[in-house]
Amino acid sequence: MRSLSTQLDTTCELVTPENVKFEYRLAGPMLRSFAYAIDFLVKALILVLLAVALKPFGEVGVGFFLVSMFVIEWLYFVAFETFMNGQSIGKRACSLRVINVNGTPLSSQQSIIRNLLRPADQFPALYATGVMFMIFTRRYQRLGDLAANTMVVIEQRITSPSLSAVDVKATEAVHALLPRRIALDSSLKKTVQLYAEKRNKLPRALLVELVQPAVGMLEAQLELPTGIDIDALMCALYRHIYIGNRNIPISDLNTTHA
Amino acid sequence: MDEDTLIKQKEKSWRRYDSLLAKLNTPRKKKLSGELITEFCRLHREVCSDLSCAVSAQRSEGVIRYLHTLVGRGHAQLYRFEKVRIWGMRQILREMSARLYYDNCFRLALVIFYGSFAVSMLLGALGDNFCAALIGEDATLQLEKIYSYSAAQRSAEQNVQMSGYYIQHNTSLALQCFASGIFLGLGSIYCLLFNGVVLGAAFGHMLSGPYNDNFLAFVLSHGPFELTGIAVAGGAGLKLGYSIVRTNGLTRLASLRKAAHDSVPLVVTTAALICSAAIIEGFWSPLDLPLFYKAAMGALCTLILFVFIVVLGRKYGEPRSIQSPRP
Repeated sequence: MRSLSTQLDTTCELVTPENVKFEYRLAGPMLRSFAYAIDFLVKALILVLLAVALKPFGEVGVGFFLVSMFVIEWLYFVAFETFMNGQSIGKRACSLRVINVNGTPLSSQQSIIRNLLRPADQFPALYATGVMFMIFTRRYQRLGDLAANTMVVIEQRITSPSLSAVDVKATEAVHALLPRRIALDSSLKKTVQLYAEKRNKLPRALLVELVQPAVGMLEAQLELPTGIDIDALMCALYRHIYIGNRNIPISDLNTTHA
Repeated sequence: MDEDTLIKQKEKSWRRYDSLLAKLNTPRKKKLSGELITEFCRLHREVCSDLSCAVSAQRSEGVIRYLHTLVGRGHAQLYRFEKVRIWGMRQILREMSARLYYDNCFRLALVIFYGSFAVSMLLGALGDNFCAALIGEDATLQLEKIYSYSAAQRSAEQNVQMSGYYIQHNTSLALQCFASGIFLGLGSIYCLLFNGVVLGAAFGHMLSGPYNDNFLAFVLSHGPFELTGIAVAGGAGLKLGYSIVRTNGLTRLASLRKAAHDSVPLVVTTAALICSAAIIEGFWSPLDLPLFYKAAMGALCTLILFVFIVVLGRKYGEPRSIQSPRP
């Protein structure tokens, strides 16, 4: 059974031979259609260049143009995915990669299967069937992906690990109230962490409402007086657990590691 | 240990790993020295263990996500066991001929395609209006106009152009016929019937008409390869669709995957047949030769197909992966 969070987070968990679990972020229809649009333009550009180059050869040129149109239509994706380890030009531009569902790189045979079945996904128009299947399968697989046992993942390159930014000055008062050693149970720790991460992404009032039930438990566990500003409490806790007791300004932290 | 200290401690090896990954993602990875690859493997194990420690110690989301992306990228570089199978000639013959000969779906595709073709040809030859009703008045007149003069009047340049057109048009059509088979075989059946009926009507109409000499001289040579090519594609498509219905103890998805894997050689056969047909159609069929030579070429192609599918297929015997376990 998948947990609720993996359903919502559109990630896919894998276990490596090193016995480590890690997650891939799956690519949805929107991102994949951007990549497809880029590939489409590249293919069109190649054909236009070919058409210009073959124009002087008259009817012979038309013959060769038609053959190359066939080759590009059917082998463009297979060739790129095989030689660029699961990436076509568009996928590379959108940092997507096709991989085997077990996380290993795809084989040329798989690439042939998933691209041969494109017409079925395109049926009746605009990849309608493919998008339908993507919506109803857990790894956003279109028919070709299902038959070839592949999935498309987002391959980010994050340049450095980062900590969530917390306003140090606002937390000073609450920070002084906290005990020196804090041992929170794991769900409370997770709550603190998620709060700090989402702090600048969601409306403050909504977040405060969401963590409200946890605040009572926190106050009880840490023997704090009631009535502390919730935002300040969460930030202070985050700072205490993850950044340590030293008074380093957060903005500095981000620049040292960027 | 707090986050800041951890990052300070580990950052050097994480960054090194990141830069090695960037190097590995270029096509020129063969130039990497053994030392670098050893270092990469060591770092990969280190980052893997960092990730599991970070997850179990509930490190901050930023650090964990960063490590996930590192491990994911490394995993894609490290585990590549692509083996490109370069089949020997013997094995290609064995794989494809036996697969075709013992494949019930291919047999069904042949019956559907050639059956509808024959019926439609008969109707087209007997009923004057059948062809016109089916493909339209204009298309029928167009067809008559094309064969009202011998194709031998074409120039060599036109032959190249038409050959290219046949390769592009016919092979795409056959591959679509295969792909649409994934809809429980319905797409392939439609495709086989449609092409069988339309081609049959055209054949019947032309053969009973005034220009039957020109028509016969043109189609006789490349017909066997082209038509059988479509039937092979349809058969492969039917197999794909049937695998979803009859799973032989596998899940439906696993059965589909297996059928898709098995169908790759069939699709290659289709493409080879139709491309050869297109080259014959482009260069040999328009030649101004007596009908006998054209018929001989057609017979030779049929003989090649017969030897390839029936004789070799029977010789090599039923391929194991096709055999279905009996309950």
